[in-house]
Amino acid sequence: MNELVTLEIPAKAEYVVLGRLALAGLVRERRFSADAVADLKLALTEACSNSIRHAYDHDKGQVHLSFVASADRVTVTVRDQGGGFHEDDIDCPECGSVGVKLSEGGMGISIIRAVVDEFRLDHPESGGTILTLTKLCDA
Amino acid sequence: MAEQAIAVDAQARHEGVCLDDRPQFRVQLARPADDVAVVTLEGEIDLYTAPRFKEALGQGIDEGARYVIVDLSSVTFVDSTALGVLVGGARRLRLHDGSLVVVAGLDRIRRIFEIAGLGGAFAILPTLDDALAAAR
Repeated sequence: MNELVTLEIPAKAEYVVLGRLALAGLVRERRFSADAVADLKLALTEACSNSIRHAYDHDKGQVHLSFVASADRVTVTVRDQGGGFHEDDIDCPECGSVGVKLSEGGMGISIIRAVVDEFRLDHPESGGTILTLTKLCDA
Repeated sequence: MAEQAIAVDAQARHEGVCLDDRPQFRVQLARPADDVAVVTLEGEIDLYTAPRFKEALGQGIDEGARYVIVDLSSVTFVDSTALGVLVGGARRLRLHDGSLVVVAGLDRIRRIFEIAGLGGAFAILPTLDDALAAAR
């Protein structure tokens, strides 16, 4: 049976930690290694930071987080209603092993791709951006 | 404000006194030699806390340090914002023929550098003693 947890935070940097805390609580009793939990926290943080930086320019709007835990995976969805960003704006194939820009910012999506099992970036017609991150439970 | 603390505690900083005591995150700047700075961090470095890290690192460089050690031994989480600060600091130092060294003991922290493709951007050493020895 799937279990759903939702959280809505202001698009401000100081609230990103709440997403990590919620995630830690959700996966505590599940078959995740410490490394897998760390990966998921990192991916969640990058997704939230992208919303705050690129969608809302740091201090406007809300970021909606949902966590769905099932028997074999946890899926995190990070949704904003801001101006958004596009993968093509971020990736830099000639830089680094996962295609990151060696500059401040710009590494987020590449890091997410590297640490989760499934990743999707959507721009719904209603506006904003939805990042969906899935991590499978450890065997 | 961290900026005010840094300005007021200029003398204390050289003695290694903590600049920021907010929960979950601390940053400290020490100057063991004229051309060496050690930025020691504790807790989590993310979009919220990285500006204070950037400020301490920038201050060490502004004061003339050309060999900067960033000690992440007590850091439990870093994201791309923290990596960006490190990359920016390393670039500034290279312009002055300097270098930045990261101390990271936890495999989890070192792994993030590998994921981001930053393994070759600066030296990553296991202990502060190793980094200080390399500075001599």
